[in-house]
Amino acid sequence: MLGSLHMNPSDSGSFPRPATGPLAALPPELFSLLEGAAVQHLVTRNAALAPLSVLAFGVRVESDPRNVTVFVPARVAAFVLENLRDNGQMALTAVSPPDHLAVQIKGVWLGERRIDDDDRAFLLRYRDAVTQVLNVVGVPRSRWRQVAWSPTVALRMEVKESYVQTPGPGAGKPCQGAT
Amino acid sequence: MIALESISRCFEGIVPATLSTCSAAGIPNISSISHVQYVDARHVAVSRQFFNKTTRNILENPQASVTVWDPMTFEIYILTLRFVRSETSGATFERMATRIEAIASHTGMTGIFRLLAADVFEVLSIYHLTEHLNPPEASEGGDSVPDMSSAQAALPPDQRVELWVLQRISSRMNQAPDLEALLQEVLDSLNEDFGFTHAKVLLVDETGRRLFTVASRGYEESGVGSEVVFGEGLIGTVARDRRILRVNQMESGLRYGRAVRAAVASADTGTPLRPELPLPGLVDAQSHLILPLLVRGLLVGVLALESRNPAAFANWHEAFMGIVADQVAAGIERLAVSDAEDPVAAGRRARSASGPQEPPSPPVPAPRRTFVFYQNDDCVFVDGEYLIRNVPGRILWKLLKVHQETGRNEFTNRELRLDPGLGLPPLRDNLESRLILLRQRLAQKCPDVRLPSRGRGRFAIEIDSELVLTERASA
Repeated sequence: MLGSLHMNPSDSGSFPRPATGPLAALPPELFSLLEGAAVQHLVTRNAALAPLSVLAFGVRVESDPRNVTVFVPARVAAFVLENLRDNGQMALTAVSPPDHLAVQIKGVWLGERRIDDDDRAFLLRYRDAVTQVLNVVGVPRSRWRQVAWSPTVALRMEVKESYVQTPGPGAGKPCQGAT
Repeated sequence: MIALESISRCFEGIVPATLSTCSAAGIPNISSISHVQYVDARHVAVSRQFFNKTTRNILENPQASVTVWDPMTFEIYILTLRFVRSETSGATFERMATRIEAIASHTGMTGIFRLLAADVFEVLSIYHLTEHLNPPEASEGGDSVPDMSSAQAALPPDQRVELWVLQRISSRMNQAPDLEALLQEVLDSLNEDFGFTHAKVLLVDETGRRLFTVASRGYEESGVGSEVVFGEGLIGTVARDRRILRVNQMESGLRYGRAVRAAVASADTGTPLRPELPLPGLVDAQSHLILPLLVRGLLVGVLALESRNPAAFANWHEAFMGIVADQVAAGIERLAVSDAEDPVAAGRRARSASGPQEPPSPPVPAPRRTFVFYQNDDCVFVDGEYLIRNVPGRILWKLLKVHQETGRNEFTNRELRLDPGLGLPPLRDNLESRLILLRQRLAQKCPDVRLPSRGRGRFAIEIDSELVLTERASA
């Protein structure tokens, strides 16, 4: 049953799992968390190496499979952008609440981009999928819909590394190219 | 700064909390964590079950932050932290270890999923983030929001003064003439005065390695007589470790445990995994508060509270209910070890006995009851159905045989204690609790055989059926 809750990227109008690059080594069930029904947090750090995380609203793989776009609520983007302009370092974790499947990607900021209609459609699908999956674990739909899904800022990221983060002996294991 | 205690309900939120760190080289890292442990007004602890990047980072760079979600409002709190130390013993470590081992036990991973260290952080600041939320809409969604208010769940609205309810339960226990009455008063008071509608008391059996349920409130099936082995499940873990266990958002904790279990299974390490244990009591319980009943450091039993409310028990309940548990333990000890006749109780019974009598019922044919005692495991069946075993089974068999052979219907605790065939230990024999268990099992399975009390240390056997007693070596 839980498997059916992970949104299938091929049904979401998004890119399939890349054949090359750090995302290529992700198992399908973890790759699907990036664009699918998972709670996501983006972490950046300031010049003094103090980390800070904010809620993120989904990841889209770009045509160059090394790059992704991370969406964050505009209302909290100021926290993130200040750090990114300082050093560009960013990491994102995506966790599936019903089964704690989790993945982390790390990389560097490439800048912001404008949000288009495809993005808006993606964000609506993402919102509905997360609302559904959180409802499974007891979060009322009305609560999650209270989150300000728009406006949203699109942050481009070059993915350098990806990691398994599902709790267990394999947590933290690099999927490819990590050091 | 926002008081840490005031946001403790966020530490076991439905949305997983995250811990962010950064390496000395400036690469940030983020991972989800099962829960955050409140340590004191300036410190929190995070459990470490596996060595990982987070551990390496905090050793290189002590700066960290934790993001937690309020399960009621979905507001976010970002705690700016500085790593202080890792603890592998002491009160904080042991509290966290008990919680993790209880979850591990339930998910069949005892010894596999365990706490390596409690990483203690100083909280430098707390940022309360609400910018990500729109104003609440009046009637969107149509689904109801569960009650997660620990204050509301814990105490009825007109009885919120903690000292008052403590005085009330203390007074009720003090007036109890015997152990059975004491347990009834405790459970009634927990329900009526404290608002805890699902509770049970388990006592240590003669092996010293198991508990048996002696009294309960709020369940469709009383569960009296059900057993828990030390170290198994939530209750067994509390009995083994003799530490209070509070688990809110139980389902979330179990999901985390199952995730680890699945990861261990898929890693094919050859580690044997035991099947997941069924949860005791309420099948849909979301919160548990389980307290060891200790007298002079010795475990006499366990008081287990549970609720469907995911946030029924707050931090302060551990200390508050710890006082109650100490009172209950002392009461059990006081009433379980004394055989002396209680003049007050005896007088009350005498007055009761001399009061108005109900008119005699018309005669009904006595049912026929077939009791079978299996010698190999001291097990008693009635009409083909399991009734009781071990010490209470041996006691029942002795009483039935003596009654059938001699017609005696009055007995004393003292003569049971002196009977070597019953196998009661010389100290802390828990005879009173065995008799309570026996009475309750008879009331459930065979109500025409009763063991009413005749004063402290004395009881009768009343039988409204024709008895057939059979003894067999084994089933």
